[in-house]
Amino acid sequence: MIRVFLLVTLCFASANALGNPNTDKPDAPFPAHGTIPEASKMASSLYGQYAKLSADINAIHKAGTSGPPEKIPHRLIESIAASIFQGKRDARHLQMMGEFCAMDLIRKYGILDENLHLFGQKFGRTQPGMVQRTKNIQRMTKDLPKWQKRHENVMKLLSSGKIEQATSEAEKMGGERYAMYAIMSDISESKTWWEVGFVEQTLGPCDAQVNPLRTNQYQQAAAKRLAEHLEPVNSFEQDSLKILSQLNSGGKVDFGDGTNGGPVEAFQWQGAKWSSANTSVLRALGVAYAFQIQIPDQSMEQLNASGKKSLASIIEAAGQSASDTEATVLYGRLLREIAILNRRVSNNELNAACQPALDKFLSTHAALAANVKRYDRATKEVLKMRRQLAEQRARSFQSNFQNTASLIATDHSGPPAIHVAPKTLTNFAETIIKETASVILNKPVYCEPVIRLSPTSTTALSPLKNFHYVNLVPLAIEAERTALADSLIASSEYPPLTLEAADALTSSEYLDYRRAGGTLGRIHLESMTTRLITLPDVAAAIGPLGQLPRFDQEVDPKQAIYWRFDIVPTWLQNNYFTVVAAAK
Amino acid sequence: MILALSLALSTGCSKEKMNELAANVKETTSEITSTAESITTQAQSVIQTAKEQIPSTGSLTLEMTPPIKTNDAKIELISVGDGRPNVIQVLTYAPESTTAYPRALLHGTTTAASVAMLAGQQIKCDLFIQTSASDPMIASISGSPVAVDFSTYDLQAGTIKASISSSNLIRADNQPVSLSGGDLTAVVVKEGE
Repeated sequence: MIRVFLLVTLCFASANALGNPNTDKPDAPFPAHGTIPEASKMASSLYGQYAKLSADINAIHKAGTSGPPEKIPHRLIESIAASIFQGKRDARHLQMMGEFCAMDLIRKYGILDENLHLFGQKFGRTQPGMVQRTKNIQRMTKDLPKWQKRHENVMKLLSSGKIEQATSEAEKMGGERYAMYAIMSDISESKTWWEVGFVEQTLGPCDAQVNPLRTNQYQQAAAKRLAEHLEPVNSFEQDSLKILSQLNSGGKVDFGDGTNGGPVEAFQWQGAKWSSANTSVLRALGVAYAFQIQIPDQSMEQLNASGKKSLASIIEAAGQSASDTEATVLYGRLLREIAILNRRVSNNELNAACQPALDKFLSTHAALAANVKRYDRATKEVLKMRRQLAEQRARSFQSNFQNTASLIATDHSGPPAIHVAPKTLTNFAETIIKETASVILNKPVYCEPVIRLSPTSTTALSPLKNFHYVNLVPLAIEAERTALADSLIASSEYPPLTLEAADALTSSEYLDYRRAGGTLGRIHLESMTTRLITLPDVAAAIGPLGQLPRFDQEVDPKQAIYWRFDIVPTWLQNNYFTVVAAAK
Repeated sequence: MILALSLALSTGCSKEKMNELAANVKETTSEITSTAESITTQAQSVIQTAKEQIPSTGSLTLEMTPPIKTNDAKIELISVGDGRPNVIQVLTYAPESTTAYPRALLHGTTTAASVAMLAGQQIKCDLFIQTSASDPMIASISGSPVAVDFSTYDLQAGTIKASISSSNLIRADNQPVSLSGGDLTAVVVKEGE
């Protein structure tokens, strides 16, 4: 009865809904990642068909619960049975293609099937139902020689190696019989006939051959795709050497895409390439998880090392070739680029990697070095005080706010009071969304850190961590930015001359934050593998540079969820100031 | 030396030896005199330094509840040297100190080239106050710095005086704090000191 009740909520699935299931559209389909190209079309078709079938099942359900069972539209049952049978098969096929949405579809078609039989049997036990059952048996008996011939044809196709064709023919046979079987599946003879006479004898031999064939084929395609995703790691190193050699020869760098520039542009270009290659490794990780192929740890390590090294080399080359007159402007501009990119790297590793090159830069430009020393003296203490004040103020804002990471379930046994968002698809997405939303929606929560998707984007995010990431629109902070620039005696003409000051100023310009707190406005349920595989370059900030997102090893990554929490911010903490949303 | 001379006389030594001894005595006496003079100079210097040290540590008083009073305040004008405005920084503590509380920092910018030139000028400064290592900080509101009016520059004492206008401050636990004014006497620090 619970399942029947649940069906009512499922019947309004809209196949055209975009995106993933979320609080606005809990029944939205999960998109496919399409590593196996035909998967996307198959998933879309299955979701589309599900919407239609669930409307039909809803009509059957309504007739079966509000009127006499004789009135159950058995012709409708017959007409949709083949589609439900094939839908279940295709959903399993989709699973072999490494698609997370297959699990959702298996569950959805499973409940359609349960209801098909439930109401089919209910009708079958009525007087008109008995008449129909007798007719079905007579028809099946009459068709027996034809059926036998079709079975033999399937076996022949199989033995001649036409496995897909044989399977397709067997599925066609199954679909036809399923229409009759649906109103008599409670009769043991009928059940035996279906399970032994068809599934074991005809479909079984096909599955025994087609499943390993498909698995092998898809694994190979996935391995190829994974290798393609890792290709930018190798090209990154080659490009980096080309740039460095041009810089060392003192000229402008030709980036090979019709653009050219000096060391600053080279740093930006190389930083963007690193970010892009990093995103590509994340896509490879998604493929590795979806198809259980080896995780590209080494590629990430290799890219991380060469990313930092190449950027430090650009700074070193810049220091050597710049005249004293050029050095001041160049040094400030390079600090700015390092600071911006360093926020994408864990533990200030880029700053640390670039520091020796910066020291070397200063050692060859004495006048600049003296300016930097005085600038540091003029700004260090005020930055320290600002940092402590921001930390203390944020702590006071934060006291009633819960870290988003603590919203994720700590085990699989069920939703405890606070940790509610499960790590895997333990139920229908609709049910998970509704249950989770009922506990955590509108809660005051905070996340850390916050990085804007791009300097021009209206959206910022808090990177992947503990099965979730956060989306938000940062608050405008012009007054704070101006006050900070004054503290740092900085302007477009006079950039900050220390890394810390450059970080402070650029983070205020980029609206990057250490923490953000607000109300949890909307939640989305996404597949971990699909999120990673389909990650667009613009969302690169979702993953820190140089690190693969780590998670609880007990969770099967194929089934893992990434929650997306949308926060409406009420306060934000930059490292050097805090902002509070104006009261509405 | 007297003992050495009497010993020489009693033992009946040569004239040369006597002269040599006499020269030694003269030199030693001169050394004693010189040392004594040096001690006197040092003593005078100590007295002078002690006299100067009374005003030279500076002080900052901030009228608020509870009031803040420090017996140390140093002012520095830092010119980066590349054309940007100069920084005025008043510290009531040594930056490396972990124990000096309460402490305050006044930080503002100016086009003045030296601390002496600040006399008669008003500088808007960010103010940060820490009453202890654990209490919530108090600070001027972002974008609303406090007005610091510099008055007398004392070349002899190496200090400058200023009064601080009343202002609304904010505590780190988001409670408003009212500053009703303040006085500053700051020792001028030269670059690199």
